[in-house]
Amino acid sequence: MTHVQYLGIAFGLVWIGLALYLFSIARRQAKLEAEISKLSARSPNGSAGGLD
Amino acid sequence: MKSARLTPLALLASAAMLAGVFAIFFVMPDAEPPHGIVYRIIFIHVPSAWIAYLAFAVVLVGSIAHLRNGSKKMDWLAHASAEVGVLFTAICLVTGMVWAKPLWGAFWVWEPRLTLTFVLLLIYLGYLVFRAMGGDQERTSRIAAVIGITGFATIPLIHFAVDWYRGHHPGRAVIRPGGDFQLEPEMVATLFAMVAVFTVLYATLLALRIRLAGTAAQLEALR
Repeated sequence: MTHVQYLGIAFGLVWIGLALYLFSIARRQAKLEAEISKLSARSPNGSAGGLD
Repeated sequence: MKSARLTPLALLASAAMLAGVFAIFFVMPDAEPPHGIVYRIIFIHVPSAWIAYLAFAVVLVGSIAHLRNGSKKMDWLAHASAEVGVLFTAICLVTGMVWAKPLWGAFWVWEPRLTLTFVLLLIYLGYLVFRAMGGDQERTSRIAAVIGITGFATIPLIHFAVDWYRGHHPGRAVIRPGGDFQLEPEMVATLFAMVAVFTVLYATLLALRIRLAGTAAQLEALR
């Protein structure tokens, strides 16, 4: 392999790593917000406290 | 942290990363052989090592604060910083491995700095796995804080390993005279600029991760 290929692999792996981490944070955030909305919707006054 | 406050930080991090990568590839000249073009890995390898140090120092501070006053926010900070620190330690190790192959002829050598950095990664991976196992929240947080504090002891060993032991890894004299691998002044300036860029990126990821912890706590309270 050439040095350019090694350089490409290093930078490529960094972008992939950062993108996957950002994607995982966004996915977890969306999941939690969806659950909060679901719980809030089940409560008549907008709070789900004590319903479960 | 509110999305409105996070957006400028995320935009700044993205713009700074783009500018940094442009400078690395189109402004910086090649280094002397045998480093040639592949030396450019230093501009992500060294900043990611710096962020790993910084992130685990934040874990240390957050963990001590949590143990002292039981602050939940400090616990979130430590947990978030450990996660981001593990990411940057992995980036540091992987970029180092890719750089090592053309220069040393092997992706991995069991030499002091590399081995200790791998140990650091395992310690904080263990920290994250322990936290993910669940159980009594308060007890888990306190034990995790102890792991976070003791794990930090690895950092000075990693930093000074190149002075104390003879290994393959270049010494700390990259930016000082007499080192194994010397950088031109403009390369050193770019390296420091990339350290600043990575610090902004770390702050952004940390803020996103703390917001996630806040949302999780909000959901827990609703339940």
